[in-house]
Amino acid sequence: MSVASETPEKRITPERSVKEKVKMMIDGMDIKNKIGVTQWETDAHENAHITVDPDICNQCPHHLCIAGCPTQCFKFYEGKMVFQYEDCVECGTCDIMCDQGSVSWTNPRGTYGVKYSQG
Amino acid sequence: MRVMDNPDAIIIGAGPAGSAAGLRLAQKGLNAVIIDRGMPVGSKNLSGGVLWGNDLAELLPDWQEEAPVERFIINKKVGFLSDEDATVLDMHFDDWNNTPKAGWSVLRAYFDGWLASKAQEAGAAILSGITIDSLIEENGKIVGVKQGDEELRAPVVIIAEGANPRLMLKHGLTYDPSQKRYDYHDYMIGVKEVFELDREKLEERFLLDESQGIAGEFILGNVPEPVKAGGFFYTNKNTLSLGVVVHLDSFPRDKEASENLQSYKVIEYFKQHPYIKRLLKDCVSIEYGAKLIPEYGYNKFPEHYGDGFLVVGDAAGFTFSNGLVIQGMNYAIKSGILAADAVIEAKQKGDFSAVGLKTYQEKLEKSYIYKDFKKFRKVKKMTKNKNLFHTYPEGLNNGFKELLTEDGSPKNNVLTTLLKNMKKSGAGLFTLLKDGLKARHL
Repeated sequence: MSVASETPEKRITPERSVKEKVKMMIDGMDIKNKIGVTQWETDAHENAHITVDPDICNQCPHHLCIAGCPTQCFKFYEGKMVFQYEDCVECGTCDIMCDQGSVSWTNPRGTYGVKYSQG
Repeated sequence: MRVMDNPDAIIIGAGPAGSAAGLRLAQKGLNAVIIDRGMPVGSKNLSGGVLWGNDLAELLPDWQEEAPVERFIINKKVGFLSDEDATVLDMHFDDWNNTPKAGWSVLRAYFDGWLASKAQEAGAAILSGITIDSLIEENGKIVGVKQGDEELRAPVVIIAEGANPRLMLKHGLTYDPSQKRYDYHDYMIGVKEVFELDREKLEERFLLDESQGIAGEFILGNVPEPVKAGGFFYTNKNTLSLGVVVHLDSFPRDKEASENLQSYKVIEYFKQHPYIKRLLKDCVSIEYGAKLIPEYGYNKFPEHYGDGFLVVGDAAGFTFSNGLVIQGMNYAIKSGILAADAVIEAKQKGDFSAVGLKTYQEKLEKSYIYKDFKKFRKVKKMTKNKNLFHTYPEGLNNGFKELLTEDGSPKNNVLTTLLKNMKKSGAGLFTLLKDGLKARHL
């Protein structure tokens, strides 16, 4: 084992760098591209099946809706909760995660919403 | 909604539970109306999904030949993934080739649509594309359902509305009638993708003969702490269902953490693991979806019957997982059949009150459903154990790696090496013993 071979680059364990690379790649992924393969019959805005009160979200200590939602319908953007119902797959996770009273959840009107062709 | 005068029963939801109930009632000559919010039926339904067991044979003896099922399970894998390594138990049971098969992979948009059509052929009425707004309650009794200004009445309503039972919440029929939303400690989220893969390639890659399939389930030690997740994949005819199940109460109650790790990233951690990634070569995603998985357990079941109503399937909390076994559709079908039988008896007695419908509860308690849940009522102690996700996979993989990598250093025996690596990953002997004791609940 020669001292010369222990250059700073070699001291970075390969494990660590692969792990970080994976994290960076996953953090950079755009979920909106992925859900493009799923089908929806989108209802008009006035019939949105979920509504959110952004004022309540401002006071919320955890924003667990953002962590839970599988299609990124919730985004905290420039100090404000922005919600869009169009990509919702009707799982109900946001309603369960929101213990602050901001999310009001119903099923979409009949025939509207996500339309799985595989399921 | 006027399709049938004086139905004997209204069934809310055309998943396996609702359709099984409707099919049984129709086969016995009762008038059943099944109402589903999907158009077509099946388009709102999603699961992992493997249908285990043969409960459907009670209704359709030849269902395994006729149903749009994908592949029968011949090979089961249970694995522990750490950042880059994997230890996987690979099980082949040759008599799973025999008929009836032990389990079938299914895609619910096809399977649920088919099962509902069987109920319809038998004489049940199916109303699709209708979201029920509320139940009709009169003098503390459920007497029908309401959508807009329209009402449909029947002596009994079978609630089969699935994993996110909105009507039960609305009418105070959950475990805690005062609750306005479900508790995230009692729920997991499943996130799944379906990938297309050329049939020949798929069979070659997974070493499968025609119509044989694999069910793989994994503990995901590579997902950043403290999030607890499992992964699964199931082979279909020419697709692969692959996804994750995430404990909702493992997301930290912290704004910054919520910005960092979301459920849709957890499935990517599974897909990017080197053991899984090579299985996904040439796979093209054709659908992305998610559903809740209730984990009420025996101690938090809602009432399964009352005046004028019965609850079946996911809505009743009949989903079970202990890491080795993940089940739901079989319980759904079985509970649907039992509910239908209770309705038939209630009709003979002319009593649809809680007293008249109590036979459903008695049937449930005699069935394997309640026996399973009773036996595993403490299973959460282990399935929510953080070591299971963030200590043991790493300790196990590092231990085996040390044992099996020849690097010129002298070897310890197997147990010493595994224990040493478990300790390095954070589980000393005492923790191992403690968790070993908890594992008896699995």
